[in-house]
Amino acid sequence: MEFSNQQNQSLAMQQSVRFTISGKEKNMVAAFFLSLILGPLGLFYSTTVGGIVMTVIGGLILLASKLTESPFLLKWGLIMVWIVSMIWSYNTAKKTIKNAEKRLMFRNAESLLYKILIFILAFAITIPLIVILVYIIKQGVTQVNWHFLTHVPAPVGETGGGILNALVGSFLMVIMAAIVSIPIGMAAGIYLSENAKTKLAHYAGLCVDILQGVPSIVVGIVIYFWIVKPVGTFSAVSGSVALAIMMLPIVIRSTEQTLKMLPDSLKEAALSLGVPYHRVMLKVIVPCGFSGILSGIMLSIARVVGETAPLIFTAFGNPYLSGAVTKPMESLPHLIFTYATSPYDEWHNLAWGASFILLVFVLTLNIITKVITRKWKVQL
Amino acid sequence: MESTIVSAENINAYYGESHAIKNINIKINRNEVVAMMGPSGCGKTTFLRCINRMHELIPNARAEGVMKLDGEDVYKMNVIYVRYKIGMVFQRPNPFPNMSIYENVIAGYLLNGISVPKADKDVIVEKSLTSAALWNEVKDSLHKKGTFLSGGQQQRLCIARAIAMQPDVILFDEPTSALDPISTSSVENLFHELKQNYTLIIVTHNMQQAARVSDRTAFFYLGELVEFDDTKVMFTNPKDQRTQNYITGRFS
Repeated sequence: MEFSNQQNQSLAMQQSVRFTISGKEKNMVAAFFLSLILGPLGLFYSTTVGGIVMTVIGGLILLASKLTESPFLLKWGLIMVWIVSMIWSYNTAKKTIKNAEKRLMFRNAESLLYKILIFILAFAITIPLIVILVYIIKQGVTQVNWHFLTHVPAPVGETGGGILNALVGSFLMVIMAAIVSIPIGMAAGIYLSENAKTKLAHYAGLCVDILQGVPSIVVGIVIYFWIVKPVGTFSAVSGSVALAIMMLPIVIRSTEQTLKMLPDSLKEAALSLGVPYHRVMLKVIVPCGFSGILSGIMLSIARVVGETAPLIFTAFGNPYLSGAVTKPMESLPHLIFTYATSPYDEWHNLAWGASFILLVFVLTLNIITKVITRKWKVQL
Repeated sequence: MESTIVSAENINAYYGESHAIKNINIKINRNEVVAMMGPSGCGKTTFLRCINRMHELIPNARAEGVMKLDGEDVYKMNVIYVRYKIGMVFQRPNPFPNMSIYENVIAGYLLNGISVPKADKDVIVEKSLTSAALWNEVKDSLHKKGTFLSGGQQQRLCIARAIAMQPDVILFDEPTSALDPISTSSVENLFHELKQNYTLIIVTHNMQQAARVSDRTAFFYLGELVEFDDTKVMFTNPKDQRTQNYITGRFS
C-alpha cells in the first residue's frame, strides 16, 4: 500500500515536470538590464554564442558605417542590435528558470505586454487618418457654403465661385458608369458564383483579378485611344466608360462572394416548388444577397468618385457648367487636381473646399454601406 | 381503395461514373406513408430526388428508367409541372430568409408569378399553416420573418409551403434529423394528419421513426431496394437477411 502510494507520487511528479532544465539558473531581470546597458556585451551573461554573434554583427555595423560615413546606418543599426540583444538575452535567461510558478508569472506578464502593444499599434494606425481628416476639414469647411455649391468657379481675380460644374459632372459620370457596370457586374458575379467550376468562370475570374490590378491611369490611356482619339474630342461619356471599367471588378467580386455564401438549400427550396431557374436567381438568391451586393456597389462608387487619373485623358475638365455628355466635363477630383496645382490662392481654397466635399461624400457612402450591411442583412 | 400514384420502373441513377442506385422498382399508393430507410450512402435520398427530378440539378448526375406519377412519365413531363405536383421538404429547415411567414407559405405562387386574389391568398395561408399545425403559433406574427421561428417551427413552415401548392405527393428528406425530440414528435404527429390528403414519402435513417409513422417501409442497401413491405411485417418478420441484420443493428 505504502509502496504504491510512493509510486503514485513519483509518477505524479514525473508528470508535473514534463521537462527538466539543466544548467545554471540565470536572472532574467539582470539579463535584460545588462544587455540594455551593455548591448551585445551584456548578452554574454545569459548566452555566450549569442554574445559572440551580436558583438560581431555590431562590429560589422560600426565598420560599415565608418566606411560609408552614414550616421543613419550607425544609429539605426546599433538600435536594432541593442533591441535584438535585449530580447535574446531575456529569452535565453527565461528558459533557465527552474521554478514553474515563476515561469508562469513571467508568461502572464509577457502576454499582458503584447496586449498593450497591440492596443497601442491599433491606436497608432488611426492617427494618420485622423490627422488627414482634421486637416482637410480645417482647410475646407470654411469654403463651403450655399454659394460654393451652386456656382461655377470664378475666373482669376474675382472672389467667390464654387464647384457646381464639378458636382454635376461627377454625379453624371458616376451615374452613367454605374448604369453600365452594375447590371453587367451583377450578371457576371451571378455567373461566377453559379458556375464556379467551369473553365470560363476560372478565366473570367482571373480577368477580373487582373482588371482590378490595372492602374487607373492605364485605363485612362486605353480609353483615350479607344474612344477619345477616334471621336476626336474629350467627352464625359469616355470618362464614364473609364470609371465603369474601374467599377466592374469590385461589383463582380462582391456579388460573387456574397452569393457564394448563401447555402445551396435555399436554391433547392425554390427549385423544389417548381420555380424556374431565372426566377430562383432573381427572386430568391439575389434578394437574399442584396445587402452584400449593394454594399459592393456603394464601395465601388466611393472608389471611382475619387478617381482622377482615368478622367485626365477622357472627360478632361471644363470650367463651365455643362450637361452635354459628348463634351468635356469637370469632375471633383479633376477640379482638385487643376486648381490645387494653379498659382492662385483663391483657386487653392476652391480645391480645399472641393476636397472636403469629396471626403464627406466618400465617408457618407462608407457609413451608409456599413448601416445597410447591418440592417438589411438577411438572417440565414 | 388503393391506387398507385408513384411507380418507379428500373430506375438507375449515376453521379458521374458511380452507380448510386440500381434498378429500383417500386409502387407507392395514394394516401399512404412510405418510409425509406437504410444506412448512409445507400441511395435513399438519391432515389427520393429522382422522383421530383431534383437529382438532375447536380452536375454530372443523371437518372435512367421510367418514373410515373399518376401514369404519366415524370421524365417526359415539364419539370416545373412535376415539382408543382410533388412537393419536397428538406433535411434542414430552409424558409426563405427574405420573406415573412405569410410570404413563405405562398412562396410557390409568388415566385412562380401566379397571381392569386388577396382573399384566396389568406385562405391558402391559413389552410396550409393549419394543416402544418403551425397556425395557432404564428397567426399573430404572420408578417415577421420566417427565420425568427424555432427549428421545428421552421420545418413545419416548410411543410406548409409545400402543402400550399396542393401537391399529390410530398417528399421528406430526413425531415427531423436537424430537430430536437419535441419538434420531431410534432412533425411526426403531422404525418398522420397529412396522410388524409397527400401521399408521403419519407427518407429516414431512424428506424423507430420509420416504424412509428409509416404504413409501408422500403429498405435500401448499397443502392438496391432490398425489401419493400408493410411496416409491421418489415419490423417483425423481414424476408431478407440484410433487412433482418439492419433492424437488429447487426451492421452499421
